[in-house]
Amino acid sequence: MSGAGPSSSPAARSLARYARWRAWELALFAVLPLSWLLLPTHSLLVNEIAIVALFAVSLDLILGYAGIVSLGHAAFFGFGAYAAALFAKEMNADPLLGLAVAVGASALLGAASSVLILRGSDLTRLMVTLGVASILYELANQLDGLTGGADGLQGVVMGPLVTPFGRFAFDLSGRVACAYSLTVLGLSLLLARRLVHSPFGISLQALRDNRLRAESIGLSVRLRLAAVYTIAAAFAGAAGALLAQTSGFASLDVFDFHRSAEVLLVLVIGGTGYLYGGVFGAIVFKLLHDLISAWTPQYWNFWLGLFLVVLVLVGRDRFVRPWTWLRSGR
Amino acid sequence: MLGLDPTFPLKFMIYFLIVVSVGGTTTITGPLLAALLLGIADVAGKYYVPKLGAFIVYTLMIAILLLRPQGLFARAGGR
Amino acid sequence: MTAALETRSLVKRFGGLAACNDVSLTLEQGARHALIGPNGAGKTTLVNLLTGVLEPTSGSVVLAGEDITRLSVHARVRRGMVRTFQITQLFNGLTPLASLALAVSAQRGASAGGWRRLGDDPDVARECDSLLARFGLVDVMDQPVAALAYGKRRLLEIATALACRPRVLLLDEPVAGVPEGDRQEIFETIGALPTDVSVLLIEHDMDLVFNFAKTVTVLVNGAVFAEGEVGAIAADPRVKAVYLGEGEGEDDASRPAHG
Repeated sequence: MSGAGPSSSPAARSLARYARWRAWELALFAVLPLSWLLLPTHSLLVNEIAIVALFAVSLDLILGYAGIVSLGHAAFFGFGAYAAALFAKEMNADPLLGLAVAVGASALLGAASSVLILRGSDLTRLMVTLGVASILYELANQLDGLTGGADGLQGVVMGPLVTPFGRFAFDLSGRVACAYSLTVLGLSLLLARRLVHSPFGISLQALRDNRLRAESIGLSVRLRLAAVYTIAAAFAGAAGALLAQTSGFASLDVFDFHRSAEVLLVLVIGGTGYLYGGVFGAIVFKLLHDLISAWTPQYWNFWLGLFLVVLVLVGRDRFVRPWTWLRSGR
Repeated sequence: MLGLDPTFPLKFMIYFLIVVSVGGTTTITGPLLAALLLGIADVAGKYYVPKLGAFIVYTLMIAILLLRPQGLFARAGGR
Repeated sequence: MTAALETRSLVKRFGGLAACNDVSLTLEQGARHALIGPNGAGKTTLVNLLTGVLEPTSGSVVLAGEDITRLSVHARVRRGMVRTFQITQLFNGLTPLASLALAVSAQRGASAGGWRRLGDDPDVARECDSLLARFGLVDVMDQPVAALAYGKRRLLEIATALACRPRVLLLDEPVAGVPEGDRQEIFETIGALPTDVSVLLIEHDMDLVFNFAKTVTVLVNGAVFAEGEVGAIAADPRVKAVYLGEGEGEDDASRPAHG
């Protein structure tokens, strides 16, 4: 799709080229429905990957594009999960409605907590976001009348998906759930893609690169940070809602520190700042997990740790070419 | 009294991070004082107000970091 | 006629040190005004106070009759006060085209759009074309800014400022470190600015000051030392003493062949 206006303008042509669909992007989007079609027996795994991917992409928006570091992104993931689970249990079991409610609730939480990340250094942000996630964990723990406390919220039975293409009830094999998650992931990626190629998206990269300069061309940095934090929270909440809806329960570990840490690992593996790092990272991470756990379940953490240390030391580009590892310098 | 299990470093790491960020990264005594402050607040909170006790440390940390992002006892100009 | 920019008794103290000491400066409409002074005189501090990067200890800044002392940096830019930086401040992860397109969009109030792409507005693209052409950046417009040569970075710095449609332009040593041949080019571009743009130039190189400025303020130790027409200032023996007395610490690139 080329931009509007006469294409005789070199700037217009270049700008249009920046936002053009690359071949590998199209391939990636094609993989989403293909994985559902071609891997019917692995629906549960693909479902998990889609959820982690969406969660990771939401973190990439704030980390890779706006430069906001967070150790507590699970706060929004968990909030979305519990919101969706509670909504289905107490009000209406329609999954799409529940998804909308969870997204809205997470966005509100994101907007409210965005004031906390505006000030301070990276260390401050890491700790404040960690604190928020921990507070939510404790809240979920304490309000056990509402959330089931440490036992979690069980017995969340979802109604059928009512779409323009028909009604689909969630089945035991997980194929409907998998298609649902993949669709939400795909649509979210499309939305996020438009966002990052828009003036707003470019302004996020600008303020990440040079905050002073961004202010000096008239951009309000604080408003933008708050806005992207809210949007990222909404996407994370969607991922959490998908988890609750497709697995039928929500437990405290959706707020746990290891979830926030895990999604960071996914981005370390997949890369930040180009939107799809979360997807690639989720695929690699989950596949690694499955493979290594099958092979040596008790040493999963050891091998994961080793993998990450090597990856970070060597750099992603050289990682796939092991003969270059011992060369000095990058 | 706390026992030892493979995940314990992670649990304590969070406390270390909290104490260092609240105390300030430019001094040694800063985190020491912050550790005392947070430790007392944590235990006192859990003793006197058991329901809210667990929140005290995190809320206190967030409040302190918002008011003084560089930490309580940091020298001016520190990170 | 209202001055384009005014400061009234502007003071900035850091602890006991007054980096800016009761500076009252007036920049007339369409001015070509230079701010000179030895190193450490407080010139960049003054610019930071004008643009809102620093908050004054006391005093006020008035832009076209409006008191902007309490306004944030970006709000001042929206009102037409734009600066360039002595050390280039660019978006290293973007391209020159994207940087300019962003600045132009920001100027039009269209930088918060989250749906349409950056290049969709043809007016923005046209303006980018003209800026890139004026500053000779067309051949590097798609390269990452981090890879640009120093001269091009300085050009981009100024182009970005102009993309913001300034009414008051503060240039902080715009040609520092730029080779002789390119300096002329840059100054011709600045000289070609329309007269409704008021320019305040901070510069060490006296030749450039003479070529460009009509009026000069000399700042020493944070206070206004002398002020007036450029010819009068050049001839003033006190000003010469202040400059010659400051020693060999200055770098040779900005040391002029003093006449």
